[in-house]
Amino acid sequence: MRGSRGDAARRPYEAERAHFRDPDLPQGPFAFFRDAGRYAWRMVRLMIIGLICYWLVFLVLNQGFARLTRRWTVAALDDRPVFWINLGIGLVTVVGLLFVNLVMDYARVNLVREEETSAVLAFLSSLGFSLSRLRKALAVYAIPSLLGVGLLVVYRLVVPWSFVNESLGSAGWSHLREPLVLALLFFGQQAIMLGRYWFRVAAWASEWSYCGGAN
Amino acid sequence: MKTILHLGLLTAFALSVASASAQTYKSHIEHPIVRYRMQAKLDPEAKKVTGHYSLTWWNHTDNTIADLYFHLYLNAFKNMDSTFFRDAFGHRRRPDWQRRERGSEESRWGWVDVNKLQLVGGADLTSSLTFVHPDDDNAADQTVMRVALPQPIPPHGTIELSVDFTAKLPRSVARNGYEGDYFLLAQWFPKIGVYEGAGERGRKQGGWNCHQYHANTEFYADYGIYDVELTAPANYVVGATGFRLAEQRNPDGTTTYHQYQEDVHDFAWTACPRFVKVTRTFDWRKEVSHEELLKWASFVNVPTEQEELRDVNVTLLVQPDHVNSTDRYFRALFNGLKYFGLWYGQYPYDTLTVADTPRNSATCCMEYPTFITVGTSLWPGEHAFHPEGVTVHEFGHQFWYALVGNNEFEEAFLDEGFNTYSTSKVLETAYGAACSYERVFGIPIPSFTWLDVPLPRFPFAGVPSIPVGPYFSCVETPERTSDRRSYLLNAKDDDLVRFGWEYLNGVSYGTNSYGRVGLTLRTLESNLGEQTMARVMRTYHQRWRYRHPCLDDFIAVVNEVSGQNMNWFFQQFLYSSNVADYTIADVTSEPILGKVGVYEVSGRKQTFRDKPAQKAFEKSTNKQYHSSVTVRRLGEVLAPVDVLVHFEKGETVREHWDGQYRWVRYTYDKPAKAISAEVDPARKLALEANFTNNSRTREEDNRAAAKWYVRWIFWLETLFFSAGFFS
Ligand SMILES: [Zn+2]
Repeated sequence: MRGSRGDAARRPYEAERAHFRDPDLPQGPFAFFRDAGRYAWRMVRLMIIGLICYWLVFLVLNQGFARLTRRWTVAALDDRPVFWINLGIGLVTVVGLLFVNLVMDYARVNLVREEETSAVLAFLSSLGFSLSRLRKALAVYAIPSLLGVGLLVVYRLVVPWSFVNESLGSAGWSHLREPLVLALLFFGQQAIMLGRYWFRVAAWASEWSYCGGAN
Repeated sequence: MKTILHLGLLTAFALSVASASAQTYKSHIEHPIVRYRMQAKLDPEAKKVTGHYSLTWWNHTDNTIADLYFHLYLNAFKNMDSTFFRDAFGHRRRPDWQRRERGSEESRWGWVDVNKLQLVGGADLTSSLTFVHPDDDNAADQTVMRVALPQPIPPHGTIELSVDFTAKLPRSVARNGYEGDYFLLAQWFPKIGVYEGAGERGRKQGGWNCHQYHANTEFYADYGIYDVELTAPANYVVGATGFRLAEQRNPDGTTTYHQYQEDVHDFAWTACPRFVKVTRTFDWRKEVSHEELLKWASFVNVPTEQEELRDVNVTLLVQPDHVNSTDRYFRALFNGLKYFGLWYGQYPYDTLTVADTPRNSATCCMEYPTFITVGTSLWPGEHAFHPEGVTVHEFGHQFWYALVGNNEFEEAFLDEGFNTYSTSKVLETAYGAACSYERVFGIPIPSFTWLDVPLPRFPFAGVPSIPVGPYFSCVETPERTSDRRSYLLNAKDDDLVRFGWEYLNGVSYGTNSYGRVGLTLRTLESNLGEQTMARVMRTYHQRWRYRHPCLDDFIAVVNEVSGQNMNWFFQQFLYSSNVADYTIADVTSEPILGKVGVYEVSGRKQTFRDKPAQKAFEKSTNKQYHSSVTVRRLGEVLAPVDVLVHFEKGETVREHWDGQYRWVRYTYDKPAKAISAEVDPARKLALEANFTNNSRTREEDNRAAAKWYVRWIFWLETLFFSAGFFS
């Protein structure tokens, strides 16, 4: 999904373009690290903005609401309303964190895609973008991410846990079975992690592609 | 249930309800020391109780008594200068009313006034009342009152007093008070102290034992009869100590409950309009099979008739939000009635009333004769013993404190600690091991979780609950070693035996009154054997029922029943703050070679070289190895320990070390190498400071580490991956 209007507008700067943006350019570790260095400081600035946003979410939604509701619930004699209120605060906080994460994702994409040097501008434009197309932006962000989380569920359901626990749980040590089970478990776990990273990259790629299409 | 309707003389009618079953309790006390006949009325708006009682008090000693001492416990909450609050400064207990907004300043404090105190048919003594401070110099403390008598009470004489009082309940701070429309009335009336005669509880000469109310201490009182009429608004559900003789509706919209109980040393009650009342009968013949009866009778060495229990009418007053815990409460109470009864002797009373306390109330988890308070959470975890643990514990106090009436001020460990021990035995017998942690997806998490969360009707129609329970699994903690963490954190704060208010702080009081005692009794049990220990506990309980024992009385029973002098044990574990720590310092094993070095052979020096000796050993069919195991005592406690040495080919050797000197070394010449050694393999020393150094292998073994590594690395990676969320 390349070749959008955004790319066309940036043609004059082609010489400076990061190599990973164009498969035709020579690839390799040197190009990779040079390109990574090119965006590093912007990303760090963006990360600081992100951390401030997360902190605000915790401060306002989690702590602020909790302090507010504490005043109503501190003398409550029943557990139920207190539980639901606290659960509500927890959910609002999670939604807030996810929204910031969504905005930061698109800001990162924006920063590279548009060759934006200002982290603040990248953040603001992403904020505007995410808010104006909230549902679609959310879907593009959420689907690959949820697939990554789904891998954890697969890990939990597919691995024959009773066999693993039985093999590893005993105090003894058979010379073949236990090392084998350990090795299989280890490599299986690493495959799951690889899959999770792959879906993370896929999420960014989807966002990149969606940004291009939406512009 | 029989209902009789009376038509009142004037306009109103009164409803009198005779009790469902007749009172069957027969007193076991020849001469009660106290007899209270009391009327009390609760005014929920003013948070006050106005009351009147006549008290008949018997001098059971050979002394002539010139004055009387009373506890006015509620005055602990009168102001911040009470000994209760002064004790607590800098520690745990300051009222957290500041954080809890509801209610005016005036309504938060509590106190009790003696409006009138008079000899029945005699002088009014109200003007002669003074506050005294037997424990400290705090002139502001008003929790102990002295009454000078115009005429002393002769030996074995009786005095009769008439007392009017007003009790103002505090916002709950500790053990009593109110929260909203919930009231827990404990230590609420002026209560006479205990006069101890010479020789009682080790006393040299007779005198009053009437301590001030301290932040950490609980109570002490004499046995007798409580005949109490309680009046509360009719919409309130009332539960109290004792048997309900009658219940009567009054014309003014209140109800009067007539409670009666013999052979108890306190009276407490609760009132709340929101209580859900559930009554069930502990039918002992259904709960205890004949085999169990025979088994435990032989275990504790009593005839089967003495092992029989009796039916008990159990009333649970439960908060509406905790109704889902009802069955678990009853199961725990029935398990308590069953095992405490089988082990120590039947629960003798007709009734047991249990109040489930609301959230945020500091009244939970208390014990009064035939009446206890307990607590639970909205969705108590499936594997954690909550609410079972607290329920069995508070019930257990019927045996340790209500029936065996130790002095909680001076020897709290005699009930809290003994009860910790007994409760953990009931829990492990009835439920198996506890979970201090539960695993979710293999990760251990603290076990106070809510499982199988019930959902509201809408919008989850058709899905009654989220079945998350199966994803949790228990990380077992053996009861015999629970409480170790809190003990080890505070092991050196205090000796175990202290007065309740003389410990370093509230945490040390807690450790030394509860967990440490439980571990000490477990250690004693390991030394005596389970059956001897069971007989010790039963003998001690039976001997001191309805009486006031002290620690020496228990030690005497231990020595008598076990036939051993266990004083060394108590000296080590109760009267010091030393810790026990035994460790395997070293395990070695070397081949026994032939001659190596310079030897005189036929008068000439001859050198035997190392290499040929080793080769000869390799070839030998009769290999011998020299193994040694070094055991060290790192702690100050001296206790005998077992040492178990494992050799190749499954051979084991068990040694018994007196544990006196700092170390001991065992050596063996055997055809097999020593593989590993373990000190105290049965974990008899439940108080051992460090179990991880109790065993050692000769060669390091990384297999367990490999297992843990593979299991944890994935979750660590997942954690770092998730942390990337914030980048
Ligand atoms: Zn207790």
